[in-house]
Amino acid sequence: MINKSNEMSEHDRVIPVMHIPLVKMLSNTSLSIWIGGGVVLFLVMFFSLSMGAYRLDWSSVLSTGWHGRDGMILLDIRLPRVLLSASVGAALAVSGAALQGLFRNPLADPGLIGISSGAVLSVALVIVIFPAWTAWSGLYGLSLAAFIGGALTCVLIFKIGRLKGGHNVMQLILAGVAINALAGAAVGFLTYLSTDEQLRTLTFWSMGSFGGAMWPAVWMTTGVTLISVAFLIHQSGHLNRLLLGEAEARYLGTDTDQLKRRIILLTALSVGCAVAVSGIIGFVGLVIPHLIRLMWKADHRVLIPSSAILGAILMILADTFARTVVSPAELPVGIVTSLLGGPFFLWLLFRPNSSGAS
Amino acid sequence: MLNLSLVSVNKGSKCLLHNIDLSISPGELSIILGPNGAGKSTLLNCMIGAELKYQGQIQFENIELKQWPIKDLSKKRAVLSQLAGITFPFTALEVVQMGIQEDAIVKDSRILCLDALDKMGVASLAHIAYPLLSGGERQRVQIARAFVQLASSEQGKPQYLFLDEPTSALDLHHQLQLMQQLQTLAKKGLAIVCVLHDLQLAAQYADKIILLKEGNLMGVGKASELLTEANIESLYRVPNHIVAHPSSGRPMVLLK
Repeated sequence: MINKSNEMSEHDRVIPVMHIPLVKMLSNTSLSIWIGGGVVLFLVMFFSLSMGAYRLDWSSVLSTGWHGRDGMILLDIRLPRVLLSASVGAALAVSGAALQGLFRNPLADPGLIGISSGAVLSVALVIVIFPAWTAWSGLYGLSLAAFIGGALTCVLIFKIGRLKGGHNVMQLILAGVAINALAGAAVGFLTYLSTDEQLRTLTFWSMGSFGGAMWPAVWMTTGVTLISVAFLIHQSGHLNRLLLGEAEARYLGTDTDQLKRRIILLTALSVGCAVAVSGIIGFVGLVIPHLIRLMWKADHRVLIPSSAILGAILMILADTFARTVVSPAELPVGIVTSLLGGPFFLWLLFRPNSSGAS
Repeated sequence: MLNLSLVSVNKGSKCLLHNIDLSISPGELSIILGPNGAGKSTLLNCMIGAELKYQGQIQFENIELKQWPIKDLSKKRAVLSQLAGITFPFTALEVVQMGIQEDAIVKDSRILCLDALDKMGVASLAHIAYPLLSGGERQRVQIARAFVQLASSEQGKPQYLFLDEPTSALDLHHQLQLMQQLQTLAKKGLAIVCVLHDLQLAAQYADKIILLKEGNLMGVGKASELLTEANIESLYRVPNHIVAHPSSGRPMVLLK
């Protein structure tokens, strides 16, 4: 590695995009991320609201208001769906960015420490073993189950991580691997037990979709996402220091144990929420932060806010694609993101200049 | 003052440090010397609070080291341990900026960081990705970060700087440059503790030598008192010859 870098000329070693004046200018201020990103996000939302099986007439919305046919489609169907996909996209991307920083591993993702699989197991249990739960808890039964599953997994990971004192990052990852394996086995067993109808519910749920978007889910997810993004932006300087190593970060005055605890808790909360309202949507948490690091900056002070915005934008686009490409039917959005994310992930692993795990 | 009294560290049945009595004062460049496994890193870890399982007392500015809040401690002292890589493409400047204190008193932290990079002779690398730097360049960037950490919180004086083999990846020119900088900083009132392997560098620049052998303190004092033929022979089992440096008069170790 060192030999290779010595052979490179000074020019090669400068991150290429830093030459572009616009990028350089933007990188000086996080305000421009919010303004620029906000404008694009708004345009993408407008685009997505206009798209769909029903051809929306904006002038009719303006003339008849929310009570007209077009207005109701906009307010009750499309707007909650667009907002929900935006906040889930932001939540997943930011959680991915924070976990990659925390684990100092570019391959970390909310699925890695087992939160997603805990949520899935809980949903599978409800569908196959306790169908009465959904009758009792109504429309949000599966969401609630997913959230409880995610939160319980989070507590479990904490207990395991603490067994030998402190919060060893390696131990957390290994605990995540173990929990993923166990949950996978349990879900497999439940799948084996399930009837055809249960199997169908389970399969569709695990592929991810925003089809059931409703306002209460939008409020809950948006709230949690905003809290989590705000906190992570606030802590982004400390996240940077964590990359020097935990000991070094402590020498610099960062309370690493507290930081780790809070990051795990907030990611569990936002991923639990995301899984609860939309099922499993893969690769967003992995791909978005990478895209920003490659194109722009690794500094968490830039990475966290831009991951939130890009995550929201790409998720809205993916969902718009998912619900229009085979219209009037729709694809599960998880398939769309995996279809895009899978090849990207492979490219990341095998791209020239990649040094293995990093 | 950093005071160690009767400090011992045991790992299993192995005794890593045995009854160390030592004090570090501001204005001194102290260098810890000793063969492999003598307990140099363990001693440094005790001084910076990374080794918590010790017997005895370690007092930092008259308060037990363990009781210092992390944040207050970071204003009093910087630590540079042996290097770890950074996974993500942070630029050298961004790495140095990690050293800036949250409540920094400096107006323009960017200038402070560029200045520190310049002092280490790596200002031209400020916008280059850290993972692409060579070992020596990385080391100098990290040293700049430690300087920035101390410089951005002046109110914490007197301050301390602890370094674990800071010259290991540097070439001759940069070794000398770093040691001269450390000497200057010590003269300005900084307390510096440094683990080194290079006897010549230690002899030329140290105000105080801390000599360790098998976990015991073999001696603390001036280079001219401690770096004797008998001591070197007993520590490293190498036949040697000590001569005085033609200009500084400090001891130089020649191998027979």
